[in-house]
Amino acid sequence: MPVTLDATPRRAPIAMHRRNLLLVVALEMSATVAWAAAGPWVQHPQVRARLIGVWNPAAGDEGLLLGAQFRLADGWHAYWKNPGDAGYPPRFTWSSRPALQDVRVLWPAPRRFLLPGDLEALGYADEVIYPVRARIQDPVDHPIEIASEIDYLVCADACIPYRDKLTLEIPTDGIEARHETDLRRLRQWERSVPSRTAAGGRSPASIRIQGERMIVRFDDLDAGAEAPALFFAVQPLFDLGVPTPLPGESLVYAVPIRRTDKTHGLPPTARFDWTLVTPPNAAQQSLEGSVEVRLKAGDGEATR
Amino acid sequence: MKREHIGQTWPALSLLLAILLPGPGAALTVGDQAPKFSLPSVDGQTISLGDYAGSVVVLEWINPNCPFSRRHAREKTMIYLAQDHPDVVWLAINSTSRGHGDYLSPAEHRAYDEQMGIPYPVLYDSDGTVGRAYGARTTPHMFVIDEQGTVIYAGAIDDDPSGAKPPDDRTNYVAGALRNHVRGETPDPAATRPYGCSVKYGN
Repeated sequence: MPVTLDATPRRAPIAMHRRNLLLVVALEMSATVAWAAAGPWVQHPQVRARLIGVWNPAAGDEGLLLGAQFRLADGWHAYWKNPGDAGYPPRFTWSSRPALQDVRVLWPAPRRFLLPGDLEALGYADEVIYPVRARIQDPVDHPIEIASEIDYLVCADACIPYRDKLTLEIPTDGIEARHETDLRRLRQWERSVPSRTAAGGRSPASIRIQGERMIVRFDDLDAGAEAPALFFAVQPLFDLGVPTPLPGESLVYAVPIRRTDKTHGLPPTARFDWTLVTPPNAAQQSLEGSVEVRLKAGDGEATR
Repeated sequence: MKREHIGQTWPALSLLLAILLPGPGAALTVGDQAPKFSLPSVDGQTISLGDYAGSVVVLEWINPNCPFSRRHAREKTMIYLAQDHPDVVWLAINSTSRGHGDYLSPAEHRAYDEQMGIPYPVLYDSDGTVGRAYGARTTPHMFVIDEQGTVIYAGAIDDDPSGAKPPDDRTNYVAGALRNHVRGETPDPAATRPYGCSVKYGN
């Protein structure tokens, strides 16, 4: 059975599994505890990867937070859900005891890497932790054993695909505090996941397509001094170029747009999933949302 | 989710955009005419797209130092497909810049092609002109051109970027496009998202 402790953790014997140090960490501002662990690193010359995670049985459906952590060598990057012009995002296949339910990989705010040939890659340099939310069924009276087979790609000048099996065992008893730093980083990366505007009310974005250009306008946002970076999820009907903030306009972007296929007709509407990434320490949090745009003949085609 | 109707808002932006924003480049859309080219092969011949007017042509962007190109060569994905369609002209194009570490000299390329058993011509596009004209982004990136010179498919070779699936479980988009075309049907999908290494263009 899971154990709920008071605010003062007490020491208890620790079970050692592989290289893991199993631990129990008091949650910030909480009278309950969460059990946490870090799995073993899988090492490559360009990247090392592992799973980390924390389980707080008192938090219900939000109780399990996992992270797929990648530390990249200088010059290498990993990918966002839209990888840009090349590459592909990591793909996770989960197995566990007890079974995980409703697994959701979250995508932290990406960076844009410009490549020769007017190509771009979207992703992360140095380090990324992909936060993962999932549910497990209570009660759990044995360690939570989790494995993820991950197909992923890291690129610099060259690209290397990897398929690693990462493992993690989260204890359900015992106390240790050495992994607080890892958990803090996991929570930081989770906070960097853009928030869904739908939860807070109306979408601030509106989109208009003019031939081979798309104008995206954001209203009711605090722009700040530095223009946020705009990204889009993969849109199968259109190729989208790099968004450019329009000078003299606040939070208005122009985006080159081109149909991928004109041998098939356009549907009545197309959905554009956008992500607006604000600079660190900006007042406005990074946001993401969707806009459904009514299409007409000629959208995404040259108007010349 | 918000539905945005095309309206009469932002009229001044149209003019501003026409001045400020470059177009989306010369890359093509499925349904466009295929840009013509003449390129040297690794064997020193000059091969022109126009030489194959009236034939179906498949273009494969290739880089032997890209793990995706190497995997497909090792698995003979393109080689078997080309052999299954002897009436289809298959050309590989390497747009790697001469200054890039992935660049192979003709002798090195010939050795690779021989080792992998690549039976079709491999062309050099070292300045990237043809790659940019087609909007080739990855290795591999595939284009199928019909007898009239129209691009009828552009995108990935298949639906398995990481190569995790057994080959028989993959959906080969180029095979599907050729099959559709033989039946007189429009390929569906006609455009997919290519995967692989970025094409190593020069600056």
